Amino acid sequence: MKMKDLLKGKVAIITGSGRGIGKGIAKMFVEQGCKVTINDIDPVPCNETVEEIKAMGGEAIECPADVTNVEQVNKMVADTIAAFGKIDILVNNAGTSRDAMIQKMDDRLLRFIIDVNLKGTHVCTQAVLKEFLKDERNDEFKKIVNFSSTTGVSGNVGQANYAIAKGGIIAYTKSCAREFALNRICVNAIAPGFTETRMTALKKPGDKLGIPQAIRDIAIGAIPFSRGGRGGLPSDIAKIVLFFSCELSNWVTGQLLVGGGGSMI
Amino acid sequence: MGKFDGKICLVGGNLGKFKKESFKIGLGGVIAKKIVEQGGQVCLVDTDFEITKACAEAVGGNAKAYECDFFTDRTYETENYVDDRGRNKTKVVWKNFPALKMVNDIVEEFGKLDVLITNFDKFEQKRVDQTDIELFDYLRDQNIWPTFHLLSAVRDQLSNQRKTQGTYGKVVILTSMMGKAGMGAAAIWAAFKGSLIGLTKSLAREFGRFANVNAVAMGPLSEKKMQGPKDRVKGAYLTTSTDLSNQPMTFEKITPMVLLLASDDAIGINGQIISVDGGLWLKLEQQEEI
Repeated sequence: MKMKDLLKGKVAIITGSGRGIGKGIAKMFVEQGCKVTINDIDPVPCNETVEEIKAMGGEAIECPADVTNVEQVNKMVADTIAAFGKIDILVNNAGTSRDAMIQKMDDRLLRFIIDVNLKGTHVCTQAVLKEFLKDERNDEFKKIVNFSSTTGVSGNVGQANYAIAKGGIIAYTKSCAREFALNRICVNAIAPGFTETRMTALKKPGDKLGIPQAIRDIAIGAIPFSRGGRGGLPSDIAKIVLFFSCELSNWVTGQLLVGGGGSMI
Repeated sequence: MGKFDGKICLVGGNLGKFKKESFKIGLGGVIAKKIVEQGGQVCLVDTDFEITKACAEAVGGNAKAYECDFFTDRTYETENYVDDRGRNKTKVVWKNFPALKMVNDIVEEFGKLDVLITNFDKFEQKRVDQTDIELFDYLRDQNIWPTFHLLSAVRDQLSNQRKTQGTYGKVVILTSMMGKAGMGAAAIWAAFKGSLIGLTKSLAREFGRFANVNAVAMGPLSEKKMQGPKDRVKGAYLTTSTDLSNQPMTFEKITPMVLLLASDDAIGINGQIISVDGGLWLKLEQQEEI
């Protein structure tokens, strides 16, 4: 069975969609008839993703922006409205990790991870609220999808900063869901397990991102669905985001859904 | 014989506040008092040294006040060394880390550190659309930084103590059940309380071999946290509580769980977030008009 046009006529902003899971979401949304704003801190992958989407026959604009910067995010929202006339869906996917054991973790590293993940989610949410809270849209269901992580749910060794940020996003999601329930804004969160992206790729000497092979093996070994082969794919996570973004989930808010291929039950 | 005989306990945060010149003891102070009553040695620390000193006086016994700066960025340098098996290793040498210095001072004076209880909390009520970046940064710094600095500072000490003295450390982080359930009109504050839950679980894994790390998610202590932006919300928390007394939580209701998790009885409990909220969680799950 192939579902079609689940997001026909909708407009979505997907943060951090130049690469990884965000890119997978953008492509899936476009397949379902959605117009998308592609955002990344890095203009080059941003542009590449837009070109790929245009080649697929979809509509997309590029808005390179730092999600923690209020002016840049406001501009992204304004550009989206200028291009497509409205916003229906916000996917707060932008995030990163820098791992260290707690006794070696300095404040700069802690602040950076909290800011990119949690402050970024807050700044983008705040920016689209002006659009979502308009009186004439009071009867529509608007969607916000936040990204937590299995680390936020159950912690992980060497990821105290990431767990702080992602654990915060769970509570933030529930708080926003309570606060905007009367405005019919559905705010939900996804907690992906180990997913194949730049963040979880094999770390080579000199790389800031990535993880060692031994840790990768343990993480993949803990995913029953992968049968020892690989982590989840961006498209696996994108399907969950699609559910939270389309009208199938209109009656769902303040929920956390773990997508880990059986790694967390 | 008390539960905390011979135990060295560091209690940080919410020790109390000054109200019209007189000192009103806070949850941290009440916990410290109970530990002293049960034979423990209490070391106190808070973001304001005046409060810490006043609290040490109020707690009485052998309570000792420590001054510590939690808000200046810590800096470190890495140092190369060769370990006892001849392998090249690097280690972190902290240059500016007041909390670590304080922990070292405590160990120098008392010989060890058994228990860390953190209770740092700054509450600010604002709707999401009105929360600016300055408030976000303020709440982040006040709610996360002191707890994180203390945990980072005690890690090596607790680990070494396990090897040298055979002790199991106990870490209790106080958070709010709003971090589990979310709270309208205070999303950022609730988010940081949720952050402490994530932190607890991560550290339970990192500290597992030498210390138990647990959290207590307490119900709302003050009327202030129960009021919302609209009359509809006002007092809703009270009416939805299943607590027999139908009253806000009090220090006395929360302290026993903190003491249990800080004592040797908690040896089998790790990485847990235990709600002490008078049954509010049950009702919040049903989303009754909040």
